[in-house]
Amino acid sequence: MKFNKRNNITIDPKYILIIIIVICVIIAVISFRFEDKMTPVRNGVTSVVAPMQKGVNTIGVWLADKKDYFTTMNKLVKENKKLKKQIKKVNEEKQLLQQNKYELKNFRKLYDLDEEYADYPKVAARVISSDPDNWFNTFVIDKGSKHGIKKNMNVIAGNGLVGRVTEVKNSYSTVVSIIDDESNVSGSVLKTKDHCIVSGNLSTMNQGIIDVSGIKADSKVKDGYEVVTSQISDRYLPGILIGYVKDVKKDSSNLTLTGSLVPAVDFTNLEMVLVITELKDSEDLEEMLK
Amino acid sequence: MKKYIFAFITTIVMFLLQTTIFPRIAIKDVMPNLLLVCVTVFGFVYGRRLGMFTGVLCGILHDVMYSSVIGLVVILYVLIAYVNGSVIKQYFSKNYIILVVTFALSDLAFNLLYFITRFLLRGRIEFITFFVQIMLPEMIYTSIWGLIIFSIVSLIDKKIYPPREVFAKVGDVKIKSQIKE
Repeated sequence: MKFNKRNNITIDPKYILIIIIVICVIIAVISFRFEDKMTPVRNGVTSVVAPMQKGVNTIGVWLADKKDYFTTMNKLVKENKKLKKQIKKVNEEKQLLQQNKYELKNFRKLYDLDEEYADYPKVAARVISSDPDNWFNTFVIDKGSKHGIKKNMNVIAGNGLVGRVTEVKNSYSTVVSIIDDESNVSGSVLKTKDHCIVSGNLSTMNQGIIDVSGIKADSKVKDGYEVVTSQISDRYLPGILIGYVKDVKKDSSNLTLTGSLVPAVDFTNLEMVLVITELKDSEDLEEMLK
Repeated sequence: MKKYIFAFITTIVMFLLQTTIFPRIAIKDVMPNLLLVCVTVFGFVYGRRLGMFTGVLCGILHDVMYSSVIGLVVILYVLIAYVNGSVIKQYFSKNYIILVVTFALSDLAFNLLYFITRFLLRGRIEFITFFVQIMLPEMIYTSIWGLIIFSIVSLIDKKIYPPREVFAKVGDVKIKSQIKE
């Protein structure tokens, strides 16, 4: 301690540093052990900062549009041609499928099956900000408990899985995307019914792919097969498209197959997402396991 | 007191930019770390105290809104601010090379510590990949943006505290006490 001109006691920065670190360690332990205790704090800070982010974000969206405009012109022209061809093809397929769907409905009625995958109730939300560092992939959306969002609800965009809600505040919530390095989703390959685990991978993420692992070694998985969320997942509703398998190989243990997965959603510029306001009801599953 | 308000406003602005605009104009998914720039700049312009104040603010904003554990990033930022604040007592000048080196080293230190605490402890050991893909580009971007933000901050600093000598002669204890006014 030393005294300055006005005879106020000033604490040496060294001690301030130590005090801050000690406090932080305590808070870290508390927030790790008792997550709920920190909710009011998080709520308070978010409700102040998020509206500001919401405003600034519109500028961000505008800038991103401009950036795309200059960088992707050629690509778009090519893509346009390709897509036009695809539309023709898809239209034909669609008609076939619609006929099939009608039939399927009747069959389902016969078998007393509900339309499981059909329509989950959804809420649209705008992405207003993302993680400030380059290591993780979380973002904040402008819907919260006020709009009926709950923890662990699934988030989709287009028809692909984006992630799940991890924290809910009054009118905002935080979403961890499936490409986040700490995220794992249990999925299944649609055509072969093989179970697999999709996990985010930071090191391959900027090539637009993540990892898929744990497929049975005798499986007939091929490139381009769709992976959807599996029935046995306890957080994700079944049947949501995650992405397409790519480069499947036997891993070093020779027991399972590992490969990459191209997500169905383009994560580079997410603006709008849909939150499925239905939670996976894992009680039935737990009862069955007992 | 004025400088605390200045630091507070700058931090909030940087945080808003960092979370909304920069992710959308990121080059190859990597963006500069403006919060770190904030902490570093205030650390060596106004000393350890204000640096640590900025560090706490940045860290809390980051942790409360985006991280599952509150406190980790606060510690990292405060440590960086403290080191910058004390080192600069001896080396500060308007030499831009030293500034660039300071930004680069601070960013590297932050990312290394972050990598160790959040990735290495989880068993992700691909250090080289992460180094080339994230740490290196981030270091470069952060240095560039650091220089820009430093110039802006020192311009505003001139407006708030007109006598320039205070700034140039840091290192002398008597003059250091004048800065606090």
